[in-house]
Amino acid sequence: MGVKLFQEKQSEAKDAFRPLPYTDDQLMRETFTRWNGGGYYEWNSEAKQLERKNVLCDPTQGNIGWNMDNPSNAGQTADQLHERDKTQYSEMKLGQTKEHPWTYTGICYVDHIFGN
Amino acid sequence: MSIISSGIKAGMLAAALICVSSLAIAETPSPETVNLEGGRVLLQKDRKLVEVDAAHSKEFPLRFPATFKRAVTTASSVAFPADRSHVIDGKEYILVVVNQSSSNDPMGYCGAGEEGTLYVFQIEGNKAEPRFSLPVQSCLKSVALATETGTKSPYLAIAWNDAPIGIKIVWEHDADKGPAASFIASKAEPLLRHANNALFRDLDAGFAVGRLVKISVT
Repeated sequence: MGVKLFQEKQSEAKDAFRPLPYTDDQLMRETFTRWNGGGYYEWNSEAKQLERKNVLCDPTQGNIGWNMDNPSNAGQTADQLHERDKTQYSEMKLGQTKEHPWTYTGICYVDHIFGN
Repeated sequence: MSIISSGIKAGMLAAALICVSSLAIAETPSPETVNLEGGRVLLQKDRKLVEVDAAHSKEFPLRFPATFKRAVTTASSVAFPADRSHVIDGKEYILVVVNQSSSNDPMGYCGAGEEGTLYVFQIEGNKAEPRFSLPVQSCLKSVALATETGTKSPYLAIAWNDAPIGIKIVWEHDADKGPAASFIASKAEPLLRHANNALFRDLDAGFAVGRLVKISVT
């Protein structure tokens, strides 16, 4: 990864948090997420804290996951969603349809490389 | 008695957990449809934009330029910043953002990223005439629309503006222009093209006069 690209994505992450407080770990996750695409955290105004977006990751893939706020995905396990969508993965973006609402996401990219 | 008490406690705990769960935050989404004058609705269907009646039971042809139709066909996603069309000087306009994948390498730089362009169309009968287009988000160039720290869809950072009449766009980051830049395209103000040159491509100089405004970071 180029240092300049990393610094730019880190700057983007800081602007996304502004004016909220964040930890070094949160900044790192937001930065690497944005390096791959998208954002990792959202602000919970009730709990007054940054929280990971509601995305479930496919543990068999590097950066494939599902937005669990989508009613088509909600309530299902990663295994169930994997079985539903796995044949569409080879189609890449064109395989992401209303019937198969999986997505590439930097959130799963970060969880994958951070080992969780 | 203690068994009943335990059951009640368990029930209360479950109810509390459900309440906490219901408080879980979710990003405010952008509209899935655009309401047009006359009661018809614009929506995305099978990798194209179609116009339907209010009951979504009948489709009507809405002619977009061929280049735009191709862009929608290959898009990674399409979004509508506003849930209804906007009338300016008796002319009806709609906003559409079309995103293309940033990369063909999912695990690489911007592999999950998108490059998004805002299109402004004037609706005249069954024709959608392009008025201008503007790149509004880019993973590759680190241009991000404002999301209020992930709580709102980025497309809600694009909105019709009353004074001056036009469109207001707020970014939370722009590698070229710095944080929290906003752009207003209107008929009332002269266009400042300098730093915005790389982002701006007008299709109709009659509409796309506007101004670039820097606002302070709060």
